[in-house]
Amino acid sequence: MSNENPNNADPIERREFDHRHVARLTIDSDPWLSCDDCFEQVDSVVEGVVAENIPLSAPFGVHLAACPVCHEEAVSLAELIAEDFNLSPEQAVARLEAAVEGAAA
Amino acid sequence: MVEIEQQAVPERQAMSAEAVFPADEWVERLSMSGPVRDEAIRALHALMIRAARHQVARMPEATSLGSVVRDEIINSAADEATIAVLGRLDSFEGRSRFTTWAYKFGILQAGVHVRRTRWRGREVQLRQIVEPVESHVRSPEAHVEGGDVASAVSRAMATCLTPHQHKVAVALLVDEVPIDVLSERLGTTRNALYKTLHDVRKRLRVELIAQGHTLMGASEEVNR
Repeated sequence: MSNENPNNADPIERREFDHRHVARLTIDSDPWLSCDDCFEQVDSVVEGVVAENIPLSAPFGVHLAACPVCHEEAVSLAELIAEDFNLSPEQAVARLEAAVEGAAA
Repeated sequence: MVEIEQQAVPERQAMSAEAVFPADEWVERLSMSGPVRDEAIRALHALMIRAARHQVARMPEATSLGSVVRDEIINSAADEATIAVLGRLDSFEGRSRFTTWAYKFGILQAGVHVRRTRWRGREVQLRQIVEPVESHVRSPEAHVEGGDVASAVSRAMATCLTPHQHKVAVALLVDEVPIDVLSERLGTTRNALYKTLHDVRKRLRVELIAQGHTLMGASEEVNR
C-alpha cells in the first residue's frame, strides 16, 4: 500500500465529492461515545430494544447514526437475537432503527 | 492455551446447549476444567460459527469472495471470537443474555475479516480534496444550496483541519475505505479513527454554522 505519495502529489478526484459526502462530513456526532464503549454496551442495549423497546441513550443513538460500522454490527446482532424474543429479524431491526432515530432526534 | 475442535458441535446442538445452559451456567462451565469445560467451549464455538456465518451472509461485499474464502473467514472469525469470549469472561455482568453478549464478538471478528479480505491487495490513497463537484442534487434550488455548502465544506476542510484529519476524513467518508481497513493500514484502531472523525465533524460544523449554513443533525442518518 502507499499511504502517502512521497512527492506529496496525490491525485485530486473532483468528481467524487458531492452532497452525500457533505452530509457524512458534517453530521452532529455529539454527545460523544467511542466505538469501544459502543462495543461494551451493544449487547445489553440492542437486547433491551429488541426485547422491551427500551429507548436508546442519546450518546448511543448518535453513535449508531454517525458510525456506519458499529451501526451495521448492531443491526446484525438485532437480527441474530430476534428469534430469542419471538420477533422476525425485520421486526427486530425496525425496532432498532426506530430507537436510533428517536435517540438522535 | 485453548484448543478448539471445530467439527465437534454442529450449530443445532449448540442451540440446544444454549437452552440447557442458563447464563450463569455458561460462565460457570467455561470457567471449570476437564470435560465440562471442553463441552462448553465446543458449544461456545458453535455459537460463534453461527454469529460469524450470519454476519458474513449479510455483507454484500462478501459475495464476491467466493464460498471457500467465506468459509475460511467464518472459521477464523469463530476461532478468534471464542478466544476473545474466554479471555473476557470476567467482564460478563449479565446485563444481557450470555448468548447475546457472546454473539457480538463473532459479529465483530467476521465483519473485520470480510472488510480486510475484500481490500487485500488494494491500494489506499490518502489524499486531500481541493474542490467539490455537485453531481447528485436534484432541483435547481437544491443544486445552488448544495453546491454552496459543498464549496464551504471544501474550504473549511482546507483551512480548519490538519492534513491528517483531512486525509482520514476523505478516506473514510468520501472514498469509503472501511474503517477496519484504514486502521490496519495506518497501524491504529477503529476507536482512534472515529475520534478523528468526531473532531473533524466538530470543527467543520463550528466553521460552517459560523458562516450561516444550516447543517443536519444526527437524526438524519448518513450511514446507510
